[in-house]
Amino acid sequence: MGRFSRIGLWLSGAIVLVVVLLGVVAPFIPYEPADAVSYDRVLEVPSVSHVLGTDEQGRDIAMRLVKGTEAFFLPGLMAAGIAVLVGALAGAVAGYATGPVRAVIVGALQLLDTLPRLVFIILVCTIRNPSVTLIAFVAGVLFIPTVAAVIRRKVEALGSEDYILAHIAHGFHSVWVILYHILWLQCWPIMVRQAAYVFGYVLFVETGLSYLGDYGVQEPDPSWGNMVAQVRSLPPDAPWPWLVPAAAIVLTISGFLAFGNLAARRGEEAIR
Amino acid sequence: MNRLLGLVLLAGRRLAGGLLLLVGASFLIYFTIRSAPGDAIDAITPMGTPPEVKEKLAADFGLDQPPLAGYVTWLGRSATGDFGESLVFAPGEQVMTIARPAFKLTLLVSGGALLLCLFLATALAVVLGEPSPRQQLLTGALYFVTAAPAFVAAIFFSQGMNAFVRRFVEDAGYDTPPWYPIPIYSESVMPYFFAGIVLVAGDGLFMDMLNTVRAEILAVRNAQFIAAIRAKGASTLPHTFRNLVVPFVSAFAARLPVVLGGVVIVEYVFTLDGAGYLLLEASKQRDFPVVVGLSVLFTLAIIVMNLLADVVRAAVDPREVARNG
Amino acid sequence: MFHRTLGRLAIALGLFVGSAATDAGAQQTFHYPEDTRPASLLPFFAEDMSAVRMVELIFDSLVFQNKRGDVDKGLATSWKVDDDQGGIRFVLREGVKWHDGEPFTAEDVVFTIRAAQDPKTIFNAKSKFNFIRDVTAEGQYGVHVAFERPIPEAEKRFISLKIIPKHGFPSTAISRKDKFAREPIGTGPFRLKKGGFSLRSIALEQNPDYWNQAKIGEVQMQHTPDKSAQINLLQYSGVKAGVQAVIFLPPKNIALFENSDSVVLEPYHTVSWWYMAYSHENKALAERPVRQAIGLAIDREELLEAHLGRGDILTGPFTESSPFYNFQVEKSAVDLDRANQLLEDAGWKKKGDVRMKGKLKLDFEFVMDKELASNQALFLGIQAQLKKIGVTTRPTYVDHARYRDQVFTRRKFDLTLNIWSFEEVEDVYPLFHSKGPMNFIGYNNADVDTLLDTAKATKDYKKYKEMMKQLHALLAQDLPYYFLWSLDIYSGISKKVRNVYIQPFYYFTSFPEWELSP
Repeated sequence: MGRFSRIGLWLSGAIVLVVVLLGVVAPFIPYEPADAVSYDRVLEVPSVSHVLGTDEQGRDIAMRLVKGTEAFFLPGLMAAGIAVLVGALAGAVAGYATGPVRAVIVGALQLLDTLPRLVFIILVCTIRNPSVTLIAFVAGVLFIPTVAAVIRRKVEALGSEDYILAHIAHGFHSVWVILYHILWLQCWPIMVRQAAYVFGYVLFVETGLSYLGDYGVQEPDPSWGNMVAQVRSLPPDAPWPWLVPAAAIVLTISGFLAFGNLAARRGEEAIR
Repeated sequence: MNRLLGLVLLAGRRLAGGLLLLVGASFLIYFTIRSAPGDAIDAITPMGTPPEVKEKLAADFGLDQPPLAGYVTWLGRSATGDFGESLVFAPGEQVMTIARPAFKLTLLVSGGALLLCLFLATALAVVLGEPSPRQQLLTGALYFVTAAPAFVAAIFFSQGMNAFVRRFVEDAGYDTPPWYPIPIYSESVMPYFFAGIVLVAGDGLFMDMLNTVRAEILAVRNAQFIAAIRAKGASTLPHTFRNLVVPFVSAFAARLPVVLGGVVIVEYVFTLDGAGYLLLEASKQRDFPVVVGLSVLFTLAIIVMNLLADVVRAAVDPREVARNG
Repeated sequence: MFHRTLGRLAIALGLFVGSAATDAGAQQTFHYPEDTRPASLLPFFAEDMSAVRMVELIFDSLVFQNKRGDVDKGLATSWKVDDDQGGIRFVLREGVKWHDGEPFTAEDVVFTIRAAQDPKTIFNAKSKFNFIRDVTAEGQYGVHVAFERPIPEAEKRFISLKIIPKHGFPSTAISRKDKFAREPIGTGPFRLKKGGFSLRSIALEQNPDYWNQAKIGEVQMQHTPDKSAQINLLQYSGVKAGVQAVIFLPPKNIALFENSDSVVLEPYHTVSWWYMAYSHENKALAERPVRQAIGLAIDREELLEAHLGRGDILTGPFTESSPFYNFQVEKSAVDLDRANQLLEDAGWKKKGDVRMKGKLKLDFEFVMDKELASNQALFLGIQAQLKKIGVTTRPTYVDHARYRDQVFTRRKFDLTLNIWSFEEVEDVYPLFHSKGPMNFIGYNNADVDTLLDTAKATKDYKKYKEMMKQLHALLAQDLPYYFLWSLDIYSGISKKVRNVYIQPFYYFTSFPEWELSP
């Protein structure tokens, strides 16, 4: 691992850590959207009392940025959990099993994979009462095939390796071998990478839909997406109310993706 | 001759597989509709829809029948391209009549963006050559920049461009360019071009493409047969190219779904009248036949592209036929 | 679209390089953006304002309201009300052709009225034509309309009746799904261009046979939901990419154009007022002191100034320019102490953040229509102000269709914010009479009912006016709604457009006179 990659890992790790901390702490910060409105401090530039300035309702942007993590943090974790756990199991079974079981699983995965994700999420939102939890759930399910494909390749590659065969010959149950020796010991870097990716995707969908305003988080509850949506009515000389959350979205997504990749690479090197 | 036959057989098999996938995907879409809570028809129609429209809708989508029979009815109709009539967006109009031109436009923008992305990635890969530690700063920065979601990139682009023109063109007394301000109003093609740029720059597409393309180019360049050709003094270009077609087509097909996802919100930002605009507008108004029709079209595009990629792969690489034939 | 786009790619890229192309000889086109996209151009189904404006350009009425507010000649060149006010006779303009070349005759007028009354033609404004008993054609160019009861100023009722062609429909039962909604045929100053009804935009061209030939060649409307994009486009109305008008300028953008070289602010009055409705089915809100306290806590001036700009604060269900407005009624000022006192006296005691009486809480569901863009901001303000007197509110934002169902039909709300707009006749009977069809708040006040009933029966306009003023005072006291304000609305129009007059409701009535210099 090169020097730059190591720096990248630290940087992205710091971003992930900050987001996770905010995500954990935010629900405990008392915030009443009704109390935040104040028309005598509209669109103020960043200052000591309002570190990131105020928006058109005079609300403190930094506060909304922090509270906005609530909109995607738990849903993101849930989606990552669904995609990685179910995906890894499905991938392992598909890689290990034979005959009709394999055919059914592979077929089902391929099916899920052909659905265009965002379009399908919008379809679901049209039919059911949309909520970020529902959106995240669907996103998690739609990512199962992606995770499964990588895991399956790994399982297939490892399945014929001597030491795995040796474990089985030694009387270990093959389910244990898959779960512990292959998935846990060998595939964790892949799972970290995929989990980070799915989390980033949920952030993308949540902010995207909140930006459009029809299905995501509704005002007065803050979301980075509905904060960016203020770009529609802001005067050009006061860009910070949308610029700050937009930058936060970019930073967080790239931070998570980079962290997933670099941590996984590091892990793979360690395993080898 | 034998090879051609094998190729045809493979194409046939893939076509059958593709059809099966389409049926399966439509099954998922159909059952998502059936999962509507309470009375399905009320849940999926806008308020105040007249009862006769609701009845027709129920018949069109087989919602008045048990799920499986309903699915068969619906599939039979959709197979002929009949996705029913729009409810709100253009009441009474055939869904396909509205959706087809919009969808073509979206495909053009997405396909164009992907080609542009492939071209730029290849160019950069060739310029960069062998990886070296010094490049990591550049690729790291690129990685960061291109990870932005396409819609955020689109907002940055339009706001940035507008500010730039205002500050440095207009205030300096020059004529403003004809595409200004963004989003513009007239029927110019520039917004489509901008949307393409943004799609290339967003959603992590470019770095993903660059990594793939770079690995492939390096693999081919370092392959033994290229060294042999070079040793003989012949041009290596045609061979390199031939060996890159397959990975390029695969890369193209694999990323189409990403771009088709990104384009939906980007179209909204640039006010393009494509399938993304139609999808969001119809979904907002709960014009659900339109949403379903578009979902099927998007799925179809992805399946067809994968099919094409498989066939091209087989046509270029005989081993592929042997492996799968 | 696809191929045209492909073909234009080359041209556009050329432009990008820098060659300034001019399209010489092209007709002047008037561009304007709309917040919403009209779904139907069939006059009966033109329900949102963007459709009303488009329909005004494509169709004609028998009569219209001119700049001075008088009824003027449209498709009818003269009219005479029967002596007993029980009917009206119109003489129609001769030689008028439909956009497809067919001649316009009395049969079309008869057809339109029959269609509006056909029970199978279902549209929102249907009740507006209930007053008509029968219609008969008298030769090719004469029509007589008989009323159910005597109607004062009957010709005014025909302003909103856009005439549609008999030959355009199979029968008088007109469905929302008719193709006509996308391929309209009118007699108006503009007709749809070939393929002009596209996904996001509508393009019209001049009707060369129109009796009052328009000066502008083409009109193009485009759905542009972002207000900031609309403002940008108006600022650059000079360049090819710009627009020549923005229908509604949000107040905070008005300053931008106040000293503009290129844009004029055109004020126009709409007969419409904003209100916050209380659901009287809610036990707490059925108590008058609660409604009064809420009114005393809300700072209308601040809300108006912060989010909407200029306007008049109202005390009753009429605008200040209305003959029925009662200026004797005093505007209440914000008084938190009195509001709190009122609630205390009525037995609402503060428990934590919210006031309670027994099991009842002053905690309300505030339902809002997402389509009204200012709702979110206004709600935030109201929520903050009500919190000060121990009243909490929970927002529910729903799309337009759901809003209508939830609030108007199922009445599942406690508070809501909305606007009533009136075309020509300011009739509040349907809103406040206990049997009124639009009394969605479940309001029932015997005094108000009696007053409305007597007013409806009277034929003497002067008496009617007095009764309306009385009603105003009564409602200001009882507060079925909290009356908010009426707005001064501004359009931004490019200075290249001259001779502009904006009709309050239909907007484009005088558009044929508008001129656009290159």
